Amino acid sequence: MLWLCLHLPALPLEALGPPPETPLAVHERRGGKRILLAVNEAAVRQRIGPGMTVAAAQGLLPGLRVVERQPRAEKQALQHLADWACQFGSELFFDAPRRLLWLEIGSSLKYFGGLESLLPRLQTSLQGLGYSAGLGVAPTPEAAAWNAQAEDGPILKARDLQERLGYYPLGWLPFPEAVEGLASSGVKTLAELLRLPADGLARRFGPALPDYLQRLLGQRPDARERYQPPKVYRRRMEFLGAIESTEGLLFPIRRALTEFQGYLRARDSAVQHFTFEFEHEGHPRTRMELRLTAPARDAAHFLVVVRERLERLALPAPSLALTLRAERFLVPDLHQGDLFDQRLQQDGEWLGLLEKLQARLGADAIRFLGLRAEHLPERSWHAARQPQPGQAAFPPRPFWLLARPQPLQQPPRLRGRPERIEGGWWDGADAQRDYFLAESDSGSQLWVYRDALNGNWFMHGLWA
Amino acid sequence: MNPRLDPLRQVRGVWVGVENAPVPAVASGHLALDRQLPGHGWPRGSLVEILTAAPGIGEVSLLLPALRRLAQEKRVAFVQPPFVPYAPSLAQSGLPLERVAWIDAAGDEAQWAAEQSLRSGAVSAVLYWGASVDPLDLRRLQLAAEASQALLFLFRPMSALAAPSTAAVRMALNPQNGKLRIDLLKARGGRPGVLQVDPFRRTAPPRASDFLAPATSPVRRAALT
Repeated sequence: MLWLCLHLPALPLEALGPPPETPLAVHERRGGKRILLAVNEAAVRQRIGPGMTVAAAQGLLPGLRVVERQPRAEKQALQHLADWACQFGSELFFDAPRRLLWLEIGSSLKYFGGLESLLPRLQTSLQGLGYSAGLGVAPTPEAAAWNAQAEDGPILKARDLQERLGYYPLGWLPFPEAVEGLASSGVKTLAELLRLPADGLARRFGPALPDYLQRLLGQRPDARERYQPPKVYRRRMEFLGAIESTEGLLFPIRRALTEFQGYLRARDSAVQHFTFEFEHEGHPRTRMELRLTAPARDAAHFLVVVRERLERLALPAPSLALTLRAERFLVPDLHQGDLFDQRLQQDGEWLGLLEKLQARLGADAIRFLGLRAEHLPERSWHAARQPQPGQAAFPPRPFWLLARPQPLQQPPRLRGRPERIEGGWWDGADAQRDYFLAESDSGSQLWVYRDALNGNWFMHGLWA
Repeated sequence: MNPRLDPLRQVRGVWVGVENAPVPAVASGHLALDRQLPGHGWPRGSLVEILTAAPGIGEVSLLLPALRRLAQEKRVAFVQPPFVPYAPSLAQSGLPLERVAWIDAAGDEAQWAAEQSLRSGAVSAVLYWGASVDPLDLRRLQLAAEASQALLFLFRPMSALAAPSTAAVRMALNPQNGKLRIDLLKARGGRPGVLQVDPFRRTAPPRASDFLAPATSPVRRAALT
């Protein structure tokens, strides 16, 4: 295992969005004091720096804007960053209060061309996202965190840990009380701390400290809960008033797609499949599923595809809201590489086939079957252009259904007892039928029914 | 085969060799049939020709165990089916509906669609109901199946029995005592012969008792006539 740690000292500031031109600082309450945690460039130019008290800083620069640290925004920013960082390694976790994010890179290092190529690439991308980070690399997560603060070159071997970490200042130890206590007894570096007996440390500062040191040096495993990236993008937009026409939907759709594009760009990812759902009053939602022939993240491209589908979409009622959903995010850079997902290639082949067949046979010639929770057999299925999700439980049913029940001149040889199916009187298709299994002279297994209203016999299916 | 070996063949794990090199195959799910088929299953990348006297004798159910597997691998295409493939039945059979595409075309276009599907590499099996396919076209379809290692099940009426066929497996199906008699006319690399299977073993048609379940909905109830 090789851990990469991102140390984000300015996160409290960066999490608040693009920094203003005027001096700004974020503070945190420690004891009774308000201490500056991070300051923007405009403030640095006025000699304001982290560690100052708010009172002192405002004394120096009366125009300084000071805001309190916002843990929620920081956590969200780290989550976004983690989503984005997933492309560099699958195992990651972060510690929002300490402004640290870890990434296991041992398994993907070769793919990214080694540290020499990975680290600069990460730095550049992070700057593009608006973050300044120190990068550290070490065989244990905590050592990587120290290394990220020292920024004195990666530590690759576990046996180098003690020597390299030994010089690091003890102030980075995430035990502020212990740091103070040790400093007062003259212990200032990690090497000095490690010379003290562990049981003595445990007695004085509690067992957490020696435990931490063991994890730091890899003498004890450091198990952390891994961050799980969300698998779904979901954006719901309510309209101010009901939108009547599909043309009118284009405006909110464009906005949703533009946001979505931003989301994808921030994550350096793309999609091949996404869904729009339109909500109506008194009607079920209308679902529009979009599949692209190749992964994409360009809003304009999305819009072309959506517009084409929208023209053919029949909406049962005016729309009140839309939801854009997507899952299975792809990394565009990796498509040609070894990590190419076979399943996606298969989808590519399938879409190619679909396009070819539709071009010659018409878009409606390629159908997917769907279920409907209806009683009448002819109503409990439907065909659609897109694969249909859905489940419904039915009694045993034959493989073939006749598009139209076929009248029988005489009752066939019946087997078993009837299944009474009634339905549709509430929507004008009154029916009462007794379905039977029957056998034809040629040995075919038929699904037949007697219309209970007029006594006529019909064949409706075959058990193939 | 030497009859003295028969007891051995009952032992689990004893593999019965066939004449040729192993053929990649998908188990049919019917032991009696697998024993006769090349590679002990439907041979991948081949044309399997199925002749039926009438529809509705279990000709599709016969394929279901293999189709369940094939639909997991890639998509399955139904080309020019004679009736509507009934979604509730497919779902009951364990076929994922989103993996089954129904291609509604006829004549030359159906044959073209079957060939394109086979060539695409996007499907693991094509079920094609093509009454009149001439031998040359049959050969084309077979080559397309070979190229992508997909399975082509071609359904034809019994009247096609006299027509020459290049199929790797050719069988005639007839109903027999509520089961299915299979005349395995040709099985390249396997053993032709006559056997009987129960295609409806796990699926429909239902026994009479299936209809006696108490009705759960007010609209559907068993009428006791």
